[in-house]
Amino acid sequence: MQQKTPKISRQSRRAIRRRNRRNLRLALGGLFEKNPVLASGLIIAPVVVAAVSLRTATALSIAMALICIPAIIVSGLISRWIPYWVTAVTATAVSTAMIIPAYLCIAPLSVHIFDALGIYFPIMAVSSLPMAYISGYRRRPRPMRWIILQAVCLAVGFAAVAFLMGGLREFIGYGTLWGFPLNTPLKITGVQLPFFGFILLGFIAAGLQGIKVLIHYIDRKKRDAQEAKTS
Amino acid sequence: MLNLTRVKERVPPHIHGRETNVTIMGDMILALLPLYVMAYIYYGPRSAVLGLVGAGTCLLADWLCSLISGRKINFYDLSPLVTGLILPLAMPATVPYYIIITAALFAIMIVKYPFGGTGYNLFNPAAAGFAFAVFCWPQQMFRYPVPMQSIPIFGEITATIAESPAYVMKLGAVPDIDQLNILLGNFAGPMGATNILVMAACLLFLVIRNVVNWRIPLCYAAAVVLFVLMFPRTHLTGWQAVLYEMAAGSLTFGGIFVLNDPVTAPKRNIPKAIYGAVAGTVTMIFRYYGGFEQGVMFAVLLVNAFAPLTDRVYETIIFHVRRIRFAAENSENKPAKQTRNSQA
Repeated sequence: MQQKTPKISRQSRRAIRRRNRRNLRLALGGLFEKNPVLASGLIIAPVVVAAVSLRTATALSIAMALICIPAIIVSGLISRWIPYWVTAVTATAVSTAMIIPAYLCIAPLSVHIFDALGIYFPIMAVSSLPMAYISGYRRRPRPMRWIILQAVCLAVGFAAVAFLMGGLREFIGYGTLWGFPLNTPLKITGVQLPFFGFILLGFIAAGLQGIKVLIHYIDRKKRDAQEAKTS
Repeated sequence: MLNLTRVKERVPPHIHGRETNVTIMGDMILALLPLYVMAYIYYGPRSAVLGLVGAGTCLLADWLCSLISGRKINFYDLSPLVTGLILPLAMPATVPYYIIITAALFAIMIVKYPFGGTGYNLFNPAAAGFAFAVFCWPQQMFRYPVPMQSIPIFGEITATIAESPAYVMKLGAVPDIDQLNILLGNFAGPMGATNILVMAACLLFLVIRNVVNWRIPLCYAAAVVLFVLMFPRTHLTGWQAVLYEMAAGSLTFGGIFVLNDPVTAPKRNIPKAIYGAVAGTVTMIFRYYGGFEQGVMFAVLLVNAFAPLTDRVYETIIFHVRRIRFAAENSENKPAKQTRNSQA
């Protein structure tokens, strides 16, 4: 006799859809709403100091993707079963081990790329990003597909900020993009220094907040218009 | 019966000092004008054009930032003019116009308005603009023309360049300038920062007008003098060394026009004295050991960061001292407790 598959009630289906939408929003948060650099204030130092050109921004983005994504995935996998401190140590060990493949991927970019990155390449292995998410996964375990999506979105969000910072600073400071001269009339070399990196990051973060406020304002206007229609 | 229709509601504060933004900044502008006159005499009309470019850029940037932040343009706010007039005076007369414009834009759009605008900035905009220009273009910022030569207003600069006394003393040598020329400001240096006699007169004017509190420049000068007397860096000693150090670079100019910004300086008297003394010491340390021949603007930025802290610490100390004093006075005035025996 065939076993009948249990029917999922309409309420349960609605709850599952709501949960999936929440997980998707949380996962995609790394791109914009919870951008690791602009909104959460994590991994600021490499972006501020080392992202001075498109090439170094590319190197940092590759390093972030290869080093931090596996660490976040591993911590998401094991955090619900083992103590927090073991998860933290394991995540750090995984990210340190991933330095070697990251090194091999970044080396072809330029002969002097590691001189330009300095200490900010190896320091990605001990960044605060995986640690910030371990306690969250422990408290509320999520399906693996959402953890992977969240890790990828965090890496993409970081890359977006790094490229923006690196591109602007290379254009304003040297008048080039990826080493190609652009014949700009004025070159302000001071933008390559860390103090300007902080200033530029602050302005970009303020811009992000402004965009969030604008989106929230448009949403509220739409909701008010809909309520006015229904009433 | 009180006619309430004629009662006007006013926003606090209801007690005002005599000084306003217009009077304070107006007096500052008046004090800066003699320096522009001296710069015109030494370097020709280019100095006046540099001042106009600096002031114009700061004013336009201020208006633009006001509009962007949703405020009405306050045409009575003269603070951007003061910033724009200070910047060129701290720079050489041969400085390109794009450096003045960039420094002015940095001062207003990055240092002043993101922190709240007029009255709320944490750092002195002119000092920050100068420091930014030094980081971006160090060669152009420390190349000074010899005075008494007319520098073309536009086009290629063909002036004779000389080393400033600050650079010579940084190398441990004594500048080859006689004391009369030192006092008159007739030597290569920042456009408006070489005439110590004129600057002393401007300081006196500002102190009399109550724009500048005498504690800040006095403690600043005292710290500088003590430092130079205790640790001279050339074979000159005594008041000769003090005179050369005070005249070289923008030390005196910064101590009068930049350090005394009423917004960024502390508000209480004792913190003002501490602020001035610390600024003088830090300026000399930057001069002796820093990478650049001048350090006053960087010292001003550093002490600006600590100015609110000095006010807060002083007020906490005063609060506790007053409490202790009040408790002591109360315990003295309290009548002695009556016991049963004394009552009987």
